[in-house]
Amino acid sequence: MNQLIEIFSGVGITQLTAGNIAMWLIAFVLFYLAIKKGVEPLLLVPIGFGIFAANFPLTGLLEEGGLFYIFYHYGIENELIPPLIFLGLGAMTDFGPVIANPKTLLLGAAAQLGVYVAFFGALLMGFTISEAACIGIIGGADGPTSIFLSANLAPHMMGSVAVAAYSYMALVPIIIPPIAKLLTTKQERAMVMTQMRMVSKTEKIVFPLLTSIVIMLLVPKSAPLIAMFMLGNLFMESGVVERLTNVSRDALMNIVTILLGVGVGSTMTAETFLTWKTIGVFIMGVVAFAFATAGGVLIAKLMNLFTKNKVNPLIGAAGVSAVPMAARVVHNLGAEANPQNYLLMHAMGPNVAGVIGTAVAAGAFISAIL
Amino acid sequence: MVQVNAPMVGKVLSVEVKVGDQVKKNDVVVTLEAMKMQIKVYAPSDGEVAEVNVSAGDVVNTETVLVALK
Repeated sequence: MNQLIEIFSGVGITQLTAGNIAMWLIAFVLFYLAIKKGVEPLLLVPIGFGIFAANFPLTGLLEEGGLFYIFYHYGIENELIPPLIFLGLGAMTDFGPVIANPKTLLLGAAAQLGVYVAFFGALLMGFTISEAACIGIIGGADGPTSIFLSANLAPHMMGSVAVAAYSYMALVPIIIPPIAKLLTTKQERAMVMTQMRMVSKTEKIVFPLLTSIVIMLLVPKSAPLIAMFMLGNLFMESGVVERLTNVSRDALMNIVTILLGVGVGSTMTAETFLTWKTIGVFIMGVVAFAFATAGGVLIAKLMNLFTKNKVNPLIGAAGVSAVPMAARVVHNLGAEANPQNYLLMHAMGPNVAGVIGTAVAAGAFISAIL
Repeated sequence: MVQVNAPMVGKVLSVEVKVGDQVKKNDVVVTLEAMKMQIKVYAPSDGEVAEVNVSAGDVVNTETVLVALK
């Protein structure tokens, strides 16, 4: 009889909890969004499956030495994968629009307002300072940076922060337009910007080096992300290491995306995810996004009071990163107000500057908190 | 003669007009693809298409005159 009980207790189904099944349902929602609705499928499919598989009892996947433990411990906790993703992003980012119009760097920085508003909001809601920083960074709309910061400050919240960040990024076309419209007049949105100047190859090669020097001296803790971002960019702009450029943005990026997705998903077990804190993360996440959009637009308007070469304030909204979707949304808003308005490349300036801004904000949080 | 330049670097997806066509302001003349997005290039004024300098598949930049109107 004892033997029979022993055999049955080793069968997963006898240990399955309601929490496990609730997490499966969450995984199925992510699959539905990714497969049926096309929401960030490259991330939500692996994250969803990570959640699904992590919520089976007795698999040992999450125990020390287990497969998902290895993905998480060596890939994410050791901060290896987010910087590798940044390498790939660097190898596909054209900093031309920033170099042609360096003012846009300020707009990328302004959009980090959302990060700080959500940070203080989360503190008021009772989150710890480390947790609040991870929630705030959602407003930067940058998945790898959010994961990097959670790995440093609040690993228990990584799953909810990552899913909130990726979900809201997918919702950029819904979140940005009402806020950007509320803060601008039709006349402002219709404003055509002067054609950008051509940027030379030398400038494009110097940019990643100069940016590395400035940022890594000022915010040393952002170095893992910034160094890899700029290395990837130097690969691409140098034009002499096409093989490295291609492998960084294609094969390597795809491989680490699988490990990142499954690793992050596997942190979302019923015990860590099904808490009131997760709800708080999602509420403050959308607050962060809204204030990031508003920050970019308002600073653009402020800048216009003092400068001769005015910018269309809409491009400030692209400072929330979410490259290049935010820039596309901004372009459409501009074209809606005036068909002759082509804002796409102008919006790419704050857009890529926003990525740098978020990495810097993450580095600043780590220096201040750890 | 009004020259319509490409507003950004991109690839021509389709050309919507041919020489001799009458166009009105804000009619689509060319559709470009940039950043995986379709960008419609509109006629800046009414006129007749005098030149079409690009065809589908061409890569263009801001110095490329896509079409000219008279």
